[in-house]
Amino acid sequence: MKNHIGALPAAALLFCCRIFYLLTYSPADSQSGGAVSMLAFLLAGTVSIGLCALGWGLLRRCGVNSLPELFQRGNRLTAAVFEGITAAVLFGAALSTVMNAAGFLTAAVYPGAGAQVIAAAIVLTAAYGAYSGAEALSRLALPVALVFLAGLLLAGWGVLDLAEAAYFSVPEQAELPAVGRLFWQALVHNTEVLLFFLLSGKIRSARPSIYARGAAAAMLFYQLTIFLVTVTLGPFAYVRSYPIYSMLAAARLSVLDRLDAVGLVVWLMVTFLRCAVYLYAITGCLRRICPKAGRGRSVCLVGLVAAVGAWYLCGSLDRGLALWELWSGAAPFWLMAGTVLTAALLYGRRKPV
Amino acid sequence: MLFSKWEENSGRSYAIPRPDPGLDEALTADLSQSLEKLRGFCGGTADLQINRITASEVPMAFVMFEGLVNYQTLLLGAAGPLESAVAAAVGCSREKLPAVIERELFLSGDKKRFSTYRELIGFIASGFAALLIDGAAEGIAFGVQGFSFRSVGEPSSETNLRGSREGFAEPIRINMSMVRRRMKTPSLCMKLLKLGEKSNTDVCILYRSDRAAPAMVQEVERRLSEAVFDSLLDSGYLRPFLESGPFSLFSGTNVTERPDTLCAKLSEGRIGILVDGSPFAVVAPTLFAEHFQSADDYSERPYYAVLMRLIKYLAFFLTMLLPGCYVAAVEYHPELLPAELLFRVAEAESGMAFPLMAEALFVHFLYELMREAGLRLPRPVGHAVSIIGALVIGDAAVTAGLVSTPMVMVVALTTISSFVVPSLYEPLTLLRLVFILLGGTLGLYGVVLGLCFVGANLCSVTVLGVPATSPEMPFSGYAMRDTLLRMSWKWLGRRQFLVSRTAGTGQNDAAAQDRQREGDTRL
Repeated sequence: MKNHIGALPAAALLFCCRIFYLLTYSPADSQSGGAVSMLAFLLAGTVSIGLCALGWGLLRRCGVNSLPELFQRGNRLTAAVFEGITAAVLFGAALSTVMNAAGFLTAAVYPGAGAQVIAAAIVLTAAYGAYSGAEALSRLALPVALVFLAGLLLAGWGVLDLAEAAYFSVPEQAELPAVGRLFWQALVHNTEVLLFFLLSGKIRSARPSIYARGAAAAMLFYQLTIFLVTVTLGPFAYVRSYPIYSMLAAARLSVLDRLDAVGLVVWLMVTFLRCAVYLYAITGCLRRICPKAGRGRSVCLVGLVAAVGAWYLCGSLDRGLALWELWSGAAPFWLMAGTVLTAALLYGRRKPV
Repeated sequence: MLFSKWEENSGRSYAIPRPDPGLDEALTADLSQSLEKLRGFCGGTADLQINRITASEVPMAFVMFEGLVNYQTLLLGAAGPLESAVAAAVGCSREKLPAVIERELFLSGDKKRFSTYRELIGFIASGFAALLIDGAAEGIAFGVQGFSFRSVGEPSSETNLRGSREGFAEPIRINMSMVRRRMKTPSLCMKLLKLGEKSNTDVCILYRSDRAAPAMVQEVERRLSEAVFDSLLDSGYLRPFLESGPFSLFSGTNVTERPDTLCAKLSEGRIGILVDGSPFAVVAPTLFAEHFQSADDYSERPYYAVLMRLIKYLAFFLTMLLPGCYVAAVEYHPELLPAELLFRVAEAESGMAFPLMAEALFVHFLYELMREAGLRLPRPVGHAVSIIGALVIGDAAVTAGLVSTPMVMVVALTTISSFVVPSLYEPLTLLRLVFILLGGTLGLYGVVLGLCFVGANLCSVTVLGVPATSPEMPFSGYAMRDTLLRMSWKWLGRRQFLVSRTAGTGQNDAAAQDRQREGDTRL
């Protein structure tokens, strides 16, 4: 009676995790217009899908279904090193998620509130989510994704009278460096690719077309969101910290006067899902390093460490910025890419221990 | 050790009751000795009846418990025929008499031989009359039950406008017959087992062999056989044994009082469990969406059933979230309320003695207090309590400035909504209070975090390999025709819904293999 994650819930989970990036980063860059962001995200999405396909092919060539299976082919020490690196990268992603969400809430919703309490509360709730397992999280992701899509459609309807097509412009040659910069940023921040390789052993086999359609839908959704923000807010998009939230606040519907409450709900749910699934993956790494550790205790430990980390980082702007500096670079991306390639080279042809 | 010594010294402890005697001991051929031992095992209980008789010069005794046997049936069936049956067995040794009587005599449809005191006591406690014969080391039990019980009546917890008015009664055999009468197919299987070390309660597992996945049935049997009870007095005792995984607010099993509902569930590949003495049958697995369905849905027009289901879903969210969201919105997010409403709420709340969160908790506490009092008291007194609670205390609390009028409105709407989905009343009551606390301390942020917690909790419920949130999550298009929507019977009748098909687990494969083996390729 082993439970597996269905392809559709898995796609929804990865989609929800990716939405967080959209809500947080785009298109707030003051030097990047909406069209620049759209082009950059389109390119980054395409390359990410290519990376997924390449990585999947590599894993299949090594005779495994997921990254942990590949790591476990080596001796315990090297497996622990690989798992440790993976857990560190995931830990950074989880903390970065929580800090961004706490920053958003203290900036836009609860001015003057303590970011530490907010961050710790998210982490502890996410730890419970991690305890309930990836299957439960993927099931929960499906309605969250649907609510987000419905919210976007409502927002589109609500901003129709505010939209100005003139705000949208095709990127010029001078803007190509900005496209490249945004593309690289979106690509190296895509830890969902790593998440896919970690969970792929639990996902029930499905036709590749399901994933292709899911990825295409996600990219279309990205493009539509940025387009809506651009044509609604125009030049104001670049001076707003959270332009999508601003667009939702501006949307006017006959019954729902404001949509920012819907945006807030979805934002928090997405944050919960992303943080929970990363904590789940970290717990998996920990349990593979210490196989005798129970699931409940491992999740408790990971949750507590993450909560303390979030509390510490949110306590000071400098500390938060230091993590952000570390995380905004390409270091985690290269570190993980190097780890996967090394493991594939070392154990690709070896039979499981 | 330390505590036991203290108990001895304190002089307040009672003597430990004597442990169970060796009931597995075999009956002896000496009738007087057997009866003496039986009296000893029963501890001189007053309701043990021993009627010594002599038939064709063979000493015998009918043993039974008072009030459990129909004396008329026993006398008509036993007095004359027994004499002639024993007389006909001339030449047979007394050892063989029980076998001869069992073969020759039609005292009742249910005749069983036994050879130990445990079996003897088990039979007479179930309403059998046991015949012990001097010289034979075994006896015969005749099913002549005649105890009084509540007649079949209308189910009190699942009333409906259309459909059957029959509800389960307490005796398990009657309940089994009510199911059998509705489902005249040989594929309906009923497996009896006894649970409860002392109560020896009859438990019946019901399923349809052409619908239920064999792996699921085996799993239920395994779990029930591992359940340890001293006394099993209600079907609700069994529900935790069928559930698995971490703690959850929501159950993956449900109970029904209606035989027609149980038959419908069995047709969908589920497993029913009847317990002797309980008018509620347990159904497993139960999907979350089923809490929003009722028997009437299938008798009404589809559009009306869909409307009712939508209202039930709305009521579920209102019950869970409305007080918490109200507290959060007024305390932390007044900008979310329309200006007119905000002014009125501010005016009503301005003179209140307590903060909004405390006010909400206070009103809910009052409501739960009055509900519990009204429920446990005799009905006329219960009504009086409700009237006093609702009118006198409620009105006085508003006048005294303890509770504002909008809060009374919110609580009234919430409580009425909670009765729309009665099977979820317990988790919703708890969650409502939790959401008030979250909304009052963390605002909308706390409410959403609570919602995430509840969502993860609900999504982690899996019973017998079937996720409780299916067919929505994981999505199964085939099963969606009877969840939020209820398609016409023309559609529903084409392909029978099978719960194992929504599982997306090993159950699914097992069910599919079974169907292929049996040549049923419709599903």
